[in-house]
Amino acid sequence: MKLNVKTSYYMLGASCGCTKGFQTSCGITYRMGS
Amino acid sequence: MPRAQNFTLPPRITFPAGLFSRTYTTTDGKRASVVYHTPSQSMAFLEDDSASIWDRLYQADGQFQPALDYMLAHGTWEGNPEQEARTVLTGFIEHLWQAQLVRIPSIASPSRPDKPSKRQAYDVAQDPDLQVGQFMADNHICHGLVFETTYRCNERCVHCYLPGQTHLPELTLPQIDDLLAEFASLGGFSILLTGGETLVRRDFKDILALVKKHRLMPSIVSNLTLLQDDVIEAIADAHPKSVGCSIYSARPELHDAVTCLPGSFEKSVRALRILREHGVPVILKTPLLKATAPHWREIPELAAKLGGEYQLDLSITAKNDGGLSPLAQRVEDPVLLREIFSSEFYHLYVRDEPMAQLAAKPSPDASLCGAGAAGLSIGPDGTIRPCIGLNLPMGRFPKDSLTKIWRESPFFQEFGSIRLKDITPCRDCADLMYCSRCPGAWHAEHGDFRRPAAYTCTLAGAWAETQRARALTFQPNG
Repeated sequence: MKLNVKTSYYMLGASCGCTKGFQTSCGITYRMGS
Repeated sequence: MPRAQNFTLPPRITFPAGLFSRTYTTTDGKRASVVYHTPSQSMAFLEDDSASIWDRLYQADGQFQPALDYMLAHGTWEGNPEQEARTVLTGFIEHLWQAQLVRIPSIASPSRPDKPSKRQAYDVAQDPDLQVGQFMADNHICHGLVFETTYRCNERCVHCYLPGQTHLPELTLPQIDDLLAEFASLGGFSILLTGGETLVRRDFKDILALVKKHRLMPSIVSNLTLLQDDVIEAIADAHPKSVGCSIYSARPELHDAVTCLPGSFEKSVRALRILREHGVPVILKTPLLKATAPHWREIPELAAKLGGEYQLDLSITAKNDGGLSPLAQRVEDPVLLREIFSSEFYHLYVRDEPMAQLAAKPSPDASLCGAGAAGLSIGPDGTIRPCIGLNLPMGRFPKDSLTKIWRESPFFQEFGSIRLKDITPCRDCADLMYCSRCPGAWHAEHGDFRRPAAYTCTLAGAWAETQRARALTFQPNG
């Protein structure tokens, strides 16, 4: 069994209610092309 | 992450104050755990077996046996299953301990994770914080709630998006209790308390207590001018993800001219300082206006002095009721715009590579925005909207249940099906990568959320131009 742990330092303000910028109020980032 | 020397499995682990966690099981049986530790700004997104094991540790209050039982029942092992499972669990716990998400009694915590040196942009594949949002949107989980507790405010900001009529009936504490219970039952995890000015509510501490009761991770936006000692303690005790405070300028006279409240700068800054002393993460939220923008460079300096972060914002929007008076406050000077977009705040990277050098472009099949994707917004009187910035009422709590709206409103199907390629001026736009598109702001400005406001394009163009110029001079290790 392998366990995959993804941790990070998160930026403030990304889900702070501001609808402007790259993220929306709910923290969703616009899906980019791939 | 480097392994600590001689890390061995302790008898048990504990969970630090300020840890928020929830494990989700989707309709197709997939599991995912969301873990945030707000004092260290550290988080984890765990899937499948990792989520199941984390959940067992968390539910068992740090005891290992339920997790080991799961591993032995579900893993494929050779030789000595018990010993191998303990080895895997040791590595798992060490990683979480390094990230400050668990504590080991009698062993000092490691230093906090390194803060990224560059602002990283929308790299969903690499960023667990973004993966959380994507997971919630993909599975239609109501994960976040923006709650405007009141429209009353003691400031009279010249660019405010709220209409003049601010004395709406407000949800009572028992109603808020019901609201949060229903939100939690839908998968609720994070809540933003904002206004108006949320601290004008005399029961703000009681609202925070309800947030705690329902085990939600709070964020707060406030001008903080009304912050009293007992509320400071309550906020610190709630371990918010952040407290955002509008600071319009580092110059007191300019800030106070925006708020129309003499002395507001001193009060807000003093409160920010006190919150930092209590270990609360703070962020200076700075809409840049015509009168304040020329001094924008002083904002990062003030944030650094206060030990907080900052967020510049040029997107001044019309009022919620369509009033256009805030638009006169916008920064229009192209030279000043380019100067602002040359700031570190607007230098975005993806895996340390300047965004302007990326070959990837937004997909024409991308969503228009994330309104309603993974949460809802509630007004003071219970009005339910898909997003605080998109004034399309879907119902009103408690008459309309959150659950019914979340499960049955046609909004999600209709709005969610709109793609970038459906927006004529956007689909072929070379500056789309730099566009802070906000259909809610467009709707407020001219009544059509499918048609960009010209100012959105102005900002995208100025940002794109600045970043392309910078990318030309970028040295990978410079």
